[in-house]
Amino acid sequence: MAKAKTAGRLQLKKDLPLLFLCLPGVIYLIINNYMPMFGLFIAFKDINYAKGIFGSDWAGLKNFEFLFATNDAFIMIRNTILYNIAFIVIGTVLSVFVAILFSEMGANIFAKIYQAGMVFPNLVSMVIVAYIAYAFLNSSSGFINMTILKAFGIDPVSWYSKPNAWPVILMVVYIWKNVGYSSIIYISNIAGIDKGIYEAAKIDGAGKFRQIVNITLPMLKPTIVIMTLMAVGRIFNSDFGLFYQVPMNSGTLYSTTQTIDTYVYRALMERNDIGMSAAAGFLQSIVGFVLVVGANLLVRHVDPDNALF
Amino acid sequence: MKKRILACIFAAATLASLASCGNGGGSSSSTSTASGESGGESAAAEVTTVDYHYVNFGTIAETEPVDDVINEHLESIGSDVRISLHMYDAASYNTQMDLMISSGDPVDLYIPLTGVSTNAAQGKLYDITDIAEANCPNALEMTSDWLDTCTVDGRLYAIPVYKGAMLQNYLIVNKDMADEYGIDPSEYEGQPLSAIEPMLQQIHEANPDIFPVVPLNANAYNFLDFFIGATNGYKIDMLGDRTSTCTGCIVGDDMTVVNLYSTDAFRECCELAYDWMQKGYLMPDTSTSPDSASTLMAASRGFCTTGGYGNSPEMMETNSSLSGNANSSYYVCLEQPYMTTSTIGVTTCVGITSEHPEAALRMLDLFYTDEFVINSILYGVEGRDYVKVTDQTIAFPEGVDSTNVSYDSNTTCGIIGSQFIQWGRNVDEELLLADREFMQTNIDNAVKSPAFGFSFDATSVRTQVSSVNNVITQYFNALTNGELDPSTMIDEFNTALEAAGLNDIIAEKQAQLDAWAAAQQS
Repeated sequence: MAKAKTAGRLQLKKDLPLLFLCLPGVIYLIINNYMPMFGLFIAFKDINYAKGIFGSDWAGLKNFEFLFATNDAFIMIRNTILYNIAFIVIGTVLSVFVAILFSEMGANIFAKIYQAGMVFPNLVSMVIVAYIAYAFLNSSSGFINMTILKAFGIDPVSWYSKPNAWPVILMVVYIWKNVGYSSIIYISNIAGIDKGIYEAAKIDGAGKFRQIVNITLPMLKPTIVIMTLMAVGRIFNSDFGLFYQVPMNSGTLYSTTQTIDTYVYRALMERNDIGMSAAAGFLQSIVGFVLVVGANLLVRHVDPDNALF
Repeated sequence: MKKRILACIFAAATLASLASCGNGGGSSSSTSTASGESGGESAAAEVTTVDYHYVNFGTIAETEPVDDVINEHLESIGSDVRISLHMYDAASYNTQMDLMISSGDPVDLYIPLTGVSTNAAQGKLYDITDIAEANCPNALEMTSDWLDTCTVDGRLYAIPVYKGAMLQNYLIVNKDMADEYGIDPSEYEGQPLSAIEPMLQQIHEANPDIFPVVPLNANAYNFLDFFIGATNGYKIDMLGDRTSTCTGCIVGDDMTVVNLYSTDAFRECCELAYDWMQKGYLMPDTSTSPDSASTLMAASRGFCTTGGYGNSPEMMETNSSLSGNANSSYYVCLEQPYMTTSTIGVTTCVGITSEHPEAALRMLDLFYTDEFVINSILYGVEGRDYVKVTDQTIAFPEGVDSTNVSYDSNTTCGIIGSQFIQWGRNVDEELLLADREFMQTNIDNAVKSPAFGFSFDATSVRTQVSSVNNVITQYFNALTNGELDPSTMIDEFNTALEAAGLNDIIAEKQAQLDAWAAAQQS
């Protein structure tokens, strides 16, 4: 017992410089992520500015009611979760695919150019993305209506009043904007794989495809699991810009574009009610937390080596 | 050991949070003593600096030089208040004010853009009932007819801005195009909106590539304003709401609260828009198109538009560059508005965190009486940002224009003090004086709603208000822009509104209105 304690102390002494390195990060986390947590009180308060946050009356769960008051609640929760699941699955598959293609290209100038080109959309603001999409979709001068559909002799489609088309449109916009960027982490992972393994496989007569399936993908598995777990934690949050800007705030599209974030924004824009906004944020965090813990439990059950904690 | 480190971290975090609270509470003292530098004064007078937080819809500029010229002026007239200006971007203004007030920073004067009753219910406003008379008598007298709109439960919380609040609903026509097709829009003066159809038909037949009507602001036509007005409209009072957020209104003299979107006015508006859309008079996809009248009319792609302005037609024609440049549009007044609580939308109030509300009100009073103070806030520093042309008009100095001026808050004109002492830039003085008279006549002769002064406190039904607002944004633009068939969609809209709890809001509104009416009579 005593020996273990000494060993622990020695270990700590050895790790101290390393721990010191993470100090700025820890301070940042405390200031930026932990201290504001007292704001969670606001979700349960009937805020009165004269009385202050702690002096205001308790409101119980009243601030949460508006999230579940109508059948919109079902639509927005369904949209948020389904879109996120689709983004996680298709986004991950495509990112890994793109990453493998890039690493197979080797380190030549074209690879760098393509890579930069793929990452670029991620740097573009959603407002601009919305207008790029508009240039494709609008019914009087849009590229799709005026060039593509015209060439096939099809009448122009009013995309901004066709809710059914939007799951596909949003998916395409999301992939265009995000896949290049999220593939970077996989590219760097593949670069870190021991080249010796590939050499050995080659000697054993494995082709390119064999190598990818049997070496690259298994080596990427831990990263894919971590990235997916992190994405699952944000499954109740949506990319506000994507769902608000890109459909140009068109009311007729709400059935397929309304998510929790856009609903909260639209509902509270008039009144600036911080209690209700805090309640929505609180709910998203709680659900995110439960999902991360749940997903991690599942991973630990299936494959203990890859679990996050 | 681990525990000790953890304890240290927690202690540090606690200390840090305490320190930040301390900063919020102990604000910098803004009371200072003016030393009698000029030598003549012997006794140093106690002066107070008032923080004025306002919105600029243009470029955010440095405000210190303007503070200095105003304070110099205030010292010369022997006032005991000084000003410190804080300019904000319109997009962040409400959030900034909420943050400042909730963290205890002193906010002396600000503009409650989300409405007096809402802000008062949230406890953000200082009750000025007992101190207003002594400190801002001029502002009170000027706005005495309108003070009811700032009163909640018999207590006064704000002072309305005194301006040409009666927005005339104008038909605005591209002059060149009208002349080209031999159209004289003035024949429609005082007519209902539907009367202009022959003109639209003529344009559409002559050139189908031109949109006969385009929206003044992107994404929405404001046709509903023409159906709720006082001359041809139904005289609808939205009880403090706007057309796109209305949770219950009254029609005419009947004090029964009804759903605006089930009234004849709304139905007729949507039917007209739908009809015009079918006939090709409106721009397709208005709800999502970023194009608006200023670009379309200047490019001769749009023929006319509609909009509400307080100014006279002559003033609008001189100033408007909607069709490219000044004097290129016809402004024809179709519809007189109806004076309701919503009309008096802009007010100035004292924040609950103010440390010297009396001084703040004395400052506010100057916004209604002192030309130099208010015009400096609007136009900046004389010589640098503007030069006087006549007594009431100014111009940019040599080499300065709207793109490179150091300070210009001209767009604040409608949300501060009295509009009747504000100078005009690049206008004829005679025109300016005539315009003031036009606005004065309109507010003096306004047709008032029986519920004028009533404002609704939505606190008890805020869950329903949020849900209802969401339903409205879903249907409102598409219906009033003529994109949805009103024969089926209005019913669907109203069913959705009822499902979202509109009837609860209407019942609450009715109860508050009845109580208000009873209090008025006694």
